[in-house]
Amino acid sequence: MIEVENLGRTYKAKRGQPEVAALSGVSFRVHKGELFGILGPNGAGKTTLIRILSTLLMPSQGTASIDGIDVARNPQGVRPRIGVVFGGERGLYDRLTARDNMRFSAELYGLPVKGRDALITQLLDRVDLAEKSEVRVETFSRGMRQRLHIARALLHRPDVLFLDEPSNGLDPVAARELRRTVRELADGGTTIILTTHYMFEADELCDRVAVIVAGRVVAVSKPADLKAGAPVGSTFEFSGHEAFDDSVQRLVDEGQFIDVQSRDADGATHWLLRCDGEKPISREALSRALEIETSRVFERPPTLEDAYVALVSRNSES
Amino acid sequence: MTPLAYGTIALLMVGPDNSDSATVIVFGAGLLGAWSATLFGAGESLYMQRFTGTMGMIAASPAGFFRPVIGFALASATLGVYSIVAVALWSAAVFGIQFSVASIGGVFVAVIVALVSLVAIGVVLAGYYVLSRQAMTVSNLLEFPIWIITGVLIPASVLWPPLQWAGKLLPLGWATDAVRAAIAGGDWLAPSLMAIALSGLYFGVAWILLVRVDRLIRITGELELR
Repeated sequence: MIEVENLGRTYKAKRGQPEVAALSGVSFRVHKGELFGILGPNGAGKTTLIRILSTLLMPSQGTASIDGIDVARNPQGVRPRIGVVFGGERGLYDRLTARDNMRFSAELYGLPVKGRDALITQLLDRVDLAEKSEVRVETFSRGMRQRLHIARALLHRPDVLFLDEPSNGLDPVAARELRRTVRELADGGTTIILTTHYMFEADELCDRVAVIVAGRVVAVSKPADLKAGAPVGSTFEFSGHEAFDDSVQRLVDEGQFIDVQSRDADGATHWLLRCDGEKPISREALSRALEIETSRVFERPPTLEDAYVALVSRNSES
Repeated sequence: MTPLAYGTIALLMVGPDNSDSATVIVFGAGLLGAWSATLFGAGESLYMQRFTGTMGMIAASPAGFFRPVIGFALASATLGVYSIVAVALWSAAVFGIQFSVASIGGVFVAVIVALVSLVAIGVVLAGYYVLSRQAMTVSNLLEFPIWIITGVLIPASVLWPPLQWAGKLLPLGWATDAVRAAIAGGDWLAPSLMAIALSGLYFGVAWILLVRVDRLIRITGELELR
């Protein structure tokens, strides 16, 4: 289990400037075998949090432990239990082959020589890189590098895997493959902490997510609960030749919608209305207000992205 | 090419008279190349690892910095073997040097000891290289003073006494004495043992430094360059 209690981290600023708080009062727990997402805008503190949990950074306040071992006081006790995948193309030896990169990592983790190459072959096969095992990494695409990062992080069979924006910059096919691999790992019992900017990815993969804004956790919940409790309602879409402006304006004046968009295309006007979560309206009620058939109105419940945007907006303002 | 240039300049300065001194010069030039390879190899490899993001991977592993750094320094020092062999072959082929060695076994041991000494110095410096963004600048600053005070090419005995003592604080200073003695027929074992003992001390200091470095970089959060 991962336990984070009142965690904070400040960075020294330039001379004469106050210290910058990257994290402040962060608390949550991640259960064994859980796939836990960390969401937040750029600079929110996601990578700082991952770096603290992976023993690369000392917290300025609070505690964090993995299976009861304090990451700040006993990094050597934590390191054999964790695997870390930082997003991007860096962190690999470009002039070495994929297999040699893996061998070097195996040395760092003290894996026995006997059976090492077989394990490397097995892991490279798992991430579809077996055929490229003897190819220098400098020729690899971003997706291949990311998969190699994951294979490398799994070498010592870690209980906990940290994935920092693993699908960042990947093409859709590579990202889907990566998600499949991550899901398989979680299903196999590995505890995973994942940071991502892609809400559909978090929605698809994560058992629970934490939303961090400006270094503070503003929500920890299952994606479904986050969506259900979002301060935004459903989004309604409809099209027509009729002049809906007055009806829509009346609903906006009543505070029914927080976002209204319209565009003309194919000889009709297409409307998109986003409902206020505190004043929900049913599809039928909207149809009546607009005086059109219910079948012409399409309703989309709030997505994780809707919930996330609302949370971030609300907490950025406050 | 650098070791060959060192060897050529040194031989032209003293004159390739095929005597013991020419042999000492050849080995000295080879060790000089080995010192440069260790200093710049270790410094540059660690600097580049900060730049390419692999330093984080090492820092997050249970190995810590000590074992990998030993490997990098050893790899760099091993390049020094090339320096010694290349300078020797070059000197024989171009200047017709006839090598005069009193104890071949002694030279072999002393050269190995010199390479161990280089690794020991490289590992101590590595602690600074991991922390500093100025690794290459420091390498440049250290290159000449160290080989001068350790008597790699020119006998340290010609230096101002305090500089001679400073050279003897470095294992390489004793190792070069051992190489010279093995070539000229003196006692090469005692300085070799001193160099090994001092190297052991350096490795111990390096281990302590790198454990502290591991903690320090986690406090400052300045492990990588971009």
